[in-house]
Amino acid sequence: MLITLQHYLVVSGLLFSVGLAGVIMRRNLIVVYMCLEMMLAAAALALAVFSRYNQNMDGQVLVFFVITVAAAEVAVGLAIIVSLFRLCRTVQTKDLTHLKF
Amino acid sequence: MIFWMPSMVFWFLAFLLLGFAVGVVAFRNPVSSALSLVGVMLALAAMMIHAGAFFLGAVQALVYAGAVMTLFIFIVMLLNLKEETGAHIGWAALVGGVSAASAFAWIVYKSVSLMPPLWLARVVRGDAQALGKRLFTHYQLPFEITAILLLVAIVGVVMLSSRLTIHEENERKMEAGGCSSANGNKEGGTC
Repeated sequence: MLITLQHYLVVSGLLFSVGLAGVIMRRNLIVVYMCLEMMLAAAALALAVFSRYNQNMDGQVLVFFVITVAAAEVAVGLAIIVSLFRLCRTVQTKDLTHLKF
Repeated sequence: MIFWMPSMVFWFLAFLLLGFAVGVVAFRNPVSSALSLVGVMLALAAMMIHAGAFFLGAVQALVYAGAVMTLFIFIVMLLNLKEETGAHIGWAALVGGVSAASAFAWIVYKSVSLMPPLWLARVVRGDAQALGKRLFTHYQLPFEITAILLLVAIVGVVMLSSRLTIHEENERKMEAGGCSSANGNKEGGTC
């Protein structure tokens, strides 16, 4: 059986949904952030394969930008988590409910 | 023989990818989750190379499995996160998460299965030369803007991590003068 575009899309979608489940289920903020990164990477895989399918480099250029933005985003997000930990001494989402009425 | 070998590699990588992904969600210890995420990113890089995006696979392995995961493991070590005791996933969260994820996966599967089989082209252009030509001609301006974005991220991270919190300012005051510790902590305890 030859591998088609659909195979890659299903793998990408499954990786995205596992990441979504992790974001909803986990209580540790850092693990939630890891699952978020996983969802982003799943979308990048789909873009790269669509680029191969269309015989067009634009999708791969877009993945390149996505990886760059993701690296910057991880740095800022982890800095926010660290300063949250310095303020509250916890990274459990059940303890961080100050925006709740 | 030639035709089923690439598909064997694909299935191996897909199972590796999804196995590590489930590991990220299921492990109690954040360090185990982070190491599983390294596995996910490496398998994803291998899958991008298998799909023909050679340069992106290399960048994915270097940036994600190298730089980003080092940052994650460093933060886990810095915050001294221990293995979570007790139930690390609640029942309501389990039901909600699994149903949301399976709903999404079902939507993807249904929409994909309606298409006719879309064969990938034989011609593969994913090397650094092809990507670089496109990047430095047609996408020159976004590439330069990315540099500004990285600069803004650096400045933001330094700003976020250099400021003292209220607790730390109180500790400094107590170490310096030893006074005003009673009313200082009242407004500080936001958490």
